[in-house]
Amino acid sequence: MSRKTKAGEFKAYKKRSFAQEVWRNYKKSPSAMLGLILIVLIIIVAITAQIVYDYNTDIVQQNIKQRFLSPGTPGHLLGTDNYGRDVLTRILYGAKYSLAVGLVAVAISCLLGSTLGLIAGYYGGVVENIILRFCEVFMGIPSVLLGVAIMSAFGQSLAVLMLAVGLVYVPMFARTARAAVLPVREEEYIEAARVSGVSDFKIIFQHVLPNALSPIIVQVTMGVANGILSASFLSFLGLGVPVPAPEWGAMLSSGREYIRDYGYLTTYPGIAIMITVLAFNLMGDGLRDALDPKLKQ
Amino acid sequence: MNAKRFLALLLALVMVSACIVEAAADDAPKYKEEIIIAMADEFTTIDPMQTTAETNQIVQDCTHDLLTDTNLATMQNEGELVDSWEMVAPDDWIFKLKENVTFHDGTILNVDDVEFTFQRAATISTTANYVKPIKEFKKIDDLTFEVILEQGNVDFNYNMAANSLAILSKEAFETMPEEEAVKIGTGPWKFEEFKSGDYVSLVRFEESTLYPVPNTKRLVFRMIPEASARMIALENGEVDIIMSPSATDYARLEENPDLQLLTEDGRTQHFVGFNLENENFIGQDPKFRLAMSKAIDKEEMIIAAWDGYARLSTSMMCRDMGFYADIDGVAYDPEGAQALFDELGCDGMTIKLVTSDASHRVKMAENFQAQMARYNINVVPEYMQNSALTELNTGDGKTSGVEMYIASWTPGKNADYMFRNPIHSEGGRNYSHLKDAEIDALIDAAALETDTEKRAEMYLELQEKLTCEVIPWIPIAQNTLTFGAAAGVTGALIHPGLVHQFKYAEKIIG
Amino acid sequence: MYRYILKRILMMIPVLIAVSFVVYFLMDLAPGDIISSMAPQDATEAEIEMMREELGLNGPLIQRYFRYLGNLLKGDMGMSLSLKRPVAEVFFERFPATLQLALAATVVAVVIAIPLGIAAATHHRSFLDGFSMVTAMLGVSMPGFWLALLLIMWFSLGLKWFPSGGSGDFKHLVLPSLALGAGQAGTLTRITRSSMLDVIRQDYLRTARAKGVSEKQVIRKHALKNALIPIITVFGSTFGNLLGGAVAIETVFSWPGIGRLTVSAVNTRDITLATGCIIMFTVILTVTMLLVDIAYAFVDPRIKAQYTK
Repeated sequence: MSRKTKAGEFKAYKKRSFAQEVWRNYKKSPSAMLGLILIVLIIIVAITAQIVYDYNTDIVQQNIKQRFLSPGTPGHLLGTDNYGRDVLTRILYGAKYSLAVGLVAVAISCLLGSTLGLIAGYYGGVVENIILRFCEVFMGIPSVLLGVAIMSAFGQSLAVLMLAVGLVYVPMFARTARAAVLPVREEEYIEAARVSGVSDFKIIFQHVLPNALSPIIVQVTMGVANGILSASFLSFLGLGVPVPAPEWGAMLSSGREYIRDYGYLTTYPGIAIMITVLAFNLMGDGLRDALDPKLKQ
Repeated sequence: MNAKRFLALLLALVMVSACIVEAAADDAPKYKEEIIIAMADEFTTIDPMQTTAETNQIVQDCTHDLLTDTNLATMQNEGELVDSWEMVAPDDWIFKLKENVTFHDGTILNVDDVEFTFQRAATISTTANYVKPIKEFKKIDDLTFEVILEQGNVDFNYNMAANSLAILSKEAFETMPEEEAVKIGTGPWKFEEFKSGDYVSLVRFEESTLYPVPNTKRLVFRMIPEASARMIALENGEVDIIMSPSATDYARLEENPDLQLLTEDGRTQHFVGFNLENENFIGQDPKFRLAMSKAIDKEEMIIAAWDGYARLSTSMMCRDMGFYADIDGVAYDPEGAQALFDELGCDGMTIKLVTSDASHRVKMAENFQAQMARYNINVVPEYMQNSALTELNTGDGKTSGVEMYIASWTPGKNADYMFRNPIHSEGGRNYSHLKDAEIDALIDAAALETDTEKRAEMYLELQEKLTCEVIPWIPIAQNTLTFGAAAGVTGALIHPGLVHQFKYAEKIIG
Repeated sequence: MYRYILKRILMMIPVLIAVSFVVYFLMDLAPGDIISSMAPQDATEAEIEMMREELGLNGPLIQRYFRYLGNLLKGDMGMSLSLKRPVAEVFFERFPATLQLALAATVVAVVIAIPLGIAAATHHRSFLDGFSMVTAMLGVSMPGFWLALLLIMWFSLGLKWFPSGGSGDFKHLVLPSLALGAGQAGTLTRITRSSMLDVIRQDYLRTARAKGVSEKQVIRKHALKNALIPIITVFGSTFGNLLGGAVAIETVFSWPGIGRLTVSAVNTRDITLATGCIIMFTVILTVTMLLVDIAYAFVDPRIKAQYTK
């Protein structure tokens, strides 16, 4: 009994030091910090916009008499669109869609994918083969087209968009997790645990998962970036969140018609997408470097 | 005379005559050899019977002919391959074909080709509808035939004007594989090449006896889905004509001396409709539908959806049709609407609206949602692919879950067609699921009425009743149809029924 | 080696069957079918049923799918419902356009990325390094379709240097391949830099330098060659992204390739064309991966030895 608590304490200590070490490494990189700061800012913007703006009055309502006011017009810093709606308001309000899709989609693919990957890596044999074949099928289909097919099958909505983007990235997580598990599969302490009757579930989550954690964390940040890009493209094709929701990809798409005279309608949402994706990419890069010594072990 | 001298003389003669010919040609205007038309949608097939898509029919209009067709100048149904026809009785028609009409394969049109076309049409779902009323086809001589109908139809000649009922060559089908044979028509243009997703090209049919040889040698239809890309292509001289330019480019087309804007009033009515069979929807109450009619600012919606380029609709019937009466309909009255909404307790209610993902419909829906928000009514729009919308709206109205929808209707010239399909309880396209015996009776009676004045009265009554009392849908607008073209291009005709004509498209260059 | 290749090719078959199953079912699930968009406005029930039979859309889903699969295994992808032509014919008619675009984009990516990556690695932690890394990061983070729109705005609408869409001569190819190549260039620059950095630190290069071989020679003769292996691998595995990206770029530039064809097939619910196109996409992707693996084996003898075992 007492031995167990000791082991627990030891683990807690180890965990803290691991996180601290990573953070110490992470802090060193200015670009990684920039990414983190940007992400925090975007999250703050997304939350504040929900409080400050009212969906019905600020997003749905149109003002046909004030169409195409150019950027810099008092009260409309980024101008107004073809319905006379304020572009800045829409971009700020729209942050939540990109974040939500990116995060939820990655949560879906991470949970599903990593579980499959862990199982595949841990059990090996037929199970592994089946899971790998399954991954191959989904990786064989170009992700954009798979997304398009899923969106047309289940209809346009935020939830389906999250699911479509999430499913697309499942195999990537599965592969990452499996690859991380492979080297530990044959380790003696795993064998020992198995012999002493510890359940597979426990072994996977207590002993195997921590080994796969670092690559998964990196994959998650990169996945959010890719997820946001995929989602914005699906919305751009008219398959994403339905209008008038100010999803950035959809804003880009509807601004395209007016690109010649009112180019700002496509420029600003694009910049918003780019900054967000950039932020997650920077953070992913920083995390990878920070976790690198762990990965090499 | 020795051979050398003879040759020299011959050469001199040839040169002189060549000069004369050239001089003569100099007097006649020179035409651009190739006219390129940029289309918005994809061309998919040259087989006229396999499609109802306007983009295909536009090309087929150049290569194939119909028995009768609508004259774009007078909007009257006239013979195309038919020289004349006679209605012996409403169920007995005699048609006489034009003489000496050549197909692209060199054969001459006769009654056998028509009979073959009808037989083929009967086996294909797209066209079966038009030939189904025929009980018996009688060949009188090579150019004359008689059709006996299952039941009388005073407008049977309109059936023969269906674009998919283009006359094909029987001999071509006997001597060539089907995919080649369908290319053979009698039009002034011969099919040349089709590259999927890119272009379809036609060359002029110089042996035509029906048409004068076109001045343009080659006609190319290029597919450019983006309106802005089409516009640039026109400005850069890559194409000569563009279909449906973006409204933001209209001014540019008008102001640029090298370009021109061609416009034509459209016949398609766009509307916001109600599902009258949905028992959980307040829209079953005519008072609600009246309130909604008063509530919509159509002018604003026209700006939102078409940048202002549309004619406001006050009647359920489309403008420009026979028997159209310019009624006032229900005027925009926000206070009146609010009062009615209050009376019905609509404050804060939610309405489910469905429509297709076509750009103008999305814009209409977005604007409708914005307008209703002013009355504190939440509209939840759902956008779907067009065929999904058709399926949902033609399905069972009780279970479809649809409350309101946005759609459009492009009727033929015939007034009966305007109402029968979308309004009559037996109509195939009754999206509103209107089942009103009184309206049905009026539609039926008007169709059979031979006295024009009485018929006009009936259609006026129908319009008044439908627009102001029954209100299965709220008419919004008929959008303007436009082309952009290089200056000097003539012969590009906009058809309100959307099958535009390019047969005579040409441009003088010197 | 050959046995390995054969095995890999045979393994594609079950994968392709599964792909056809997934796509066919997804397409069937999609609301609305091609019938309602093809039938005339006033079609009756009977006519629609007739049309369904004509197109082979009658019967329950499972039955239809196995009918489709049977033909597919015989190498017949069926007729496109909307184009009324064999799917294979349509696909191969439009495939060259996508291939052209993908190759041009690859050229763009390589021309930008390799020099930039090498420069960054050889001038590690300099301004040049920072500049190329920022550029690469932006390239990776920028949505391809947005860059495409920006290029149209600047070079087509603004400067009028290039057409804004369609295909034809070289001029038409410039903007799409730039837009598609940019993202790829971003990834490639980063990989070139990191694998060059790895190689530069190796002992044998230090030896070469010590022997008095000039720095340029070291980079050109030794470092680049060795750094190429990971570059090729990553490039092969990102080819899928390139094809996926082509879907976006083709849409924006009205490029008559298979990406746009597939999206429009899905939109018109042309189930045979959509399934066929996606299967072909998968084949191309898988074959590319295989080719990369083989190329890899030839570059690295250690791996070749593994296969022949």
